This record gives sequence, C-alpha cells and structure tokens, in this order.
Amino acid sequence: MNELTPTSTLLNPTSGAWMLVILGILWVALGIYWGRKAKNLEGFMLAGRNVGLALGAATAMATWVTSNTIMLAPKFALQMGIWGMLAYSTASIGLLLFAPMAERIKSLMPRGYTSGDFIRLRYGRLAWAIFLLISMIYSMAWLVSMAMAGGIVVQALSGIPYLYGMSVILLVCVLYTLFGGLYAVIGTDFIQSIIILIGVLVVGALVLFSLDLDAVHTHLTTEQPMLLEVLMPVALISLFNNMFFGFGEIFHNNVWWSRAHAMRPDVARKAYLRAALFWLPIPVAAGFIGLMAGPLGINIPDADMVGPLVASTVVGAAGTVVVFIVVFC
Amino acid sequence: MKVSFALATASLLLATTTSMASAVPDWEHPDQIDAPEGHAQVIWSTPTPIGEDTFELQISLADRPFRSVYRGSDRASVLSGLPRGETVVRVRTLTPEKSDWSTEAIVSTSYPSRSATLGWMTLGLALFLATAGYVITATRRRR
Repeated sequence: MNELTPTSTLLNPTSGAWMLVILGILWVALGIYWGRKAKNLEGFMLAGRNVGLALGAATAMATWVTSNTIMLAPKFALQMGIWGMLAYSTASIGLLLFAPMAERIKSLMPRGYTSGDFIRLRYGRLAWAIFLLISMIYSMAWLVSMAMAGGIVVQALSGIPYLYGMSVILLVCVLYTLFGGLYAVIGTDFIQSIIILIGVLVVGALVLFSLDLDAVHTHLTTEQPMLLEVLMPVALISLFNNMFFGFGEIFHNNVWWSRAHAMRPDVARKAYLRAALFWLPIPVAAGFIGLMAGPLGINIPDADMVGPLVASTVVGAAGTVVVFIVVFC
Repeated sequence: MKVSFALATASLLLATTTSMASAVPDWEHPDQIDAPEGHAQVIWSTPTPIGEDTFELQISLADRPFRSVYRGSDRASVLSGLPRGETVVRVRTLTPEKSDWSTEAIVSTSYPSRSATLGWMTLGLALFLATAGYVITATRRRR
C-alpha cells in the first residue's frame, strides 16, 4: 500500500479477495452460459444481429459506465465543483449523436462487422492500416486505464494491492469475452447496468440523507467557495473537454460500432438515444458524492479515490460492498 | 567533577526527551505550490512507519485564522475549491505528543482571466455546435 492510500479500509483484504473470486467466477460462468448461443462467427461477434431495444440500450449505457466514471465524476466534482460533474456528464452527448449514426451505419453496412470495415471500404487499405494502429493503441491504453482504475478502487476499499485487483479484473473481462463473445458481453452488460444504476442511486441517496444540506452549503461557500462558483474558470474551460473525448471515443471505437451492428435495424437509433438519456444523470449522481467529501470532513489523500472513500465512509461496510460490485461491473 | 556529572546527566535527559518527542512532519514537495486549477495535493512524511502517527492538518484561507481540516494517520490531503490568492498549510504530529508545526506550505491559486476563460469556452461551444450540426444534417440528408 502506498503512502497516499488511506491507512484503514472498511473491507479486509480476505473479504475483498473472496468477493473478487466470487464475482469473477460468476461473470465467467455467465459468459460461458450465454456464449453457448453463438453457433457461428456472426453469433459470436454480433450476437446474431438480433439485439432488441432493452438489451441494446442497456449494453450501450453499461459500456459507457466504467470504473473511470465511478472514479472520475466524483474527482471532477471535488476539483471543479458543480460544473465539474456537469462537465463529465457531457460525455453522454457522444452517445446522443451516435444514435443517428448507428441507424446510418446499419443502412450503409447491413452485413458489416467492425468500424475498420467502414474505413477500409470508404478510404482504402492505407487509411485502414493507420486507423487500426491508432485504434489499437487507444484501445490498449483505454483497457489498461480502466483496469488500473478498478484496481485502485479495489485497493482503496479492501487493501488488496492494485496490481492484483487490476490483473483479476482484466483476466475476468478477457475470459468472459473469450468464452461468450458479444452474447456474453451484452448479457453481463444488462446485469451490470441494473447494478450500477441501483448502486449509484442507493449510495447517492444515503449520502444525501446523512447530510444537513444547509450545513453543506455553508461549508462549501466558506471553505471551498470555488466549487459553487458559476464562473469557475477551469471548470468552464474544461466543460467541453470530456464531450470531445466522448465524440472521439464513440465515433471511432469498434466497441460502439459492433453494438450498432448487433442491434436490429429498427432499434439502433432508439437504443443509443435511451442509453444517452439513462447515462446523463450518472456522473451527476456520482459527482455529488465527491462534492460532499469536504462537508462530511472526510480526508481525501488522492483525488482519484474520492468517490469510493466517501461512499464507503458514509454507508459503511454495506456501501463498500456496493461500490466494490459496481466497480467490478 | 560534580558540574560535569550534572552536565552529562542533563545532556542525557535532554537526549532522551528529544528522542521521545514526536517528529515534525516534512513536506514531500516544495513549500510553494502553484494551483492554477484551484486544487492541490499536500503530502508530508515522518521517519516513523506508515499508520503509526496521527497528524493534524490546518489551513488558512485568504489570511483567515488557521483551522483544522484533518486529524488522522493519512499522510496526504487534497485541498480543493480554493479561492484566488494564497492558502497557507501546516501539519504536526499528534502522537505520542504534539510536535511543533511544520514549515508553512503556501498554495498559490491564480485562475485564468475571465476573458481567457470565456474565449476557450466559446471555442469549445463553436466546435461542439459544428460537430453536432454536421452529424445531424449529414445523417438526415442521406437517410
């Protein structure tokens, strides 16, 4: 454990390790179970191109709620206040704009498989090679950063060294995807989205009800005044950063294109629209938790850990378990 | 002989007392920290193993009196929402007894000007509108 990690955790390492093992086995088992539906390449890669509205919206939403969301939205709120959490939620606009694009992708390439297919057919093999290189570098960095975020949260909650936590998370993701293909990914996404929504809602509500909002307002205006400042310079400048990151990620990444290919033609647009609307309040709810760190008198040794620390401190061991499961999802 | 014995005893007592006194924490960063974004992380250390000592961290915002913001065994803290100007930070060890305060670290917050802020924000807004407009019109035109 490094010097910046809080010196006590609510979940002991043994309990944390058991939760990692149980959740890992459950996820891989679900992956194997759902993967049995895949009888050919199209089934494995695109879930038979027959994904409906509920599963489609859930998978798009769950894909966009990552460990990074649980970590970064509260961090944005801690560092940039009200505008910070709103800035993070602008990433949903990428999903919103992808909705008409998904419909267009379905009509242009009804038998397409990946985003690379489109680049190759539209711009040629050289552009395709460059696209693949950029996409692979980006995806590796994205995957590792998410696993690291998960590992750090696991460490903050249970004291398990983050290298172990991130390795288990990576291994489980690889295994259930490998065994189950997109069927497994969409199935687990559906469960994950429900757990994430309930988890954020429960923790947010518990934090809200444990506070006197007048006292919170007084604390923030006197001790952390810039967090409530309407013209907070850094927050305003960064307002569009996350949105543009979202555009870049969603418009190019095969994660989103493959889901569009997997959805039924009449569903793609609606599913992405609903996913955007469902996702929009999540960073606000998660960010609210981060904003309460100061008023609750919780020391934050590292801004990355503000969400899990506040949740586990306010809600206790039960909150720690909820955050643990949400992060694992 | 008596004088030297007394001196030796006094030195021994002083040395013992000094060795039992709590160590004054040291900052792990320069005493002057720039925080143009309004937040900063302060980190301190003592020679004792992690988790053994308890610390008290105090800050003074904009020339106001010091107030405690943390008591516990962590060795770092994030300060955020800082107003423009200087925030003074100090830390001490509380166990086994209160140490002296550390040197004061000064966190200087100087936000970008309002014109720069609005300029960047306007640029972001223009890029967003251009992107959204292009995506919406292009997908409608070709439907």
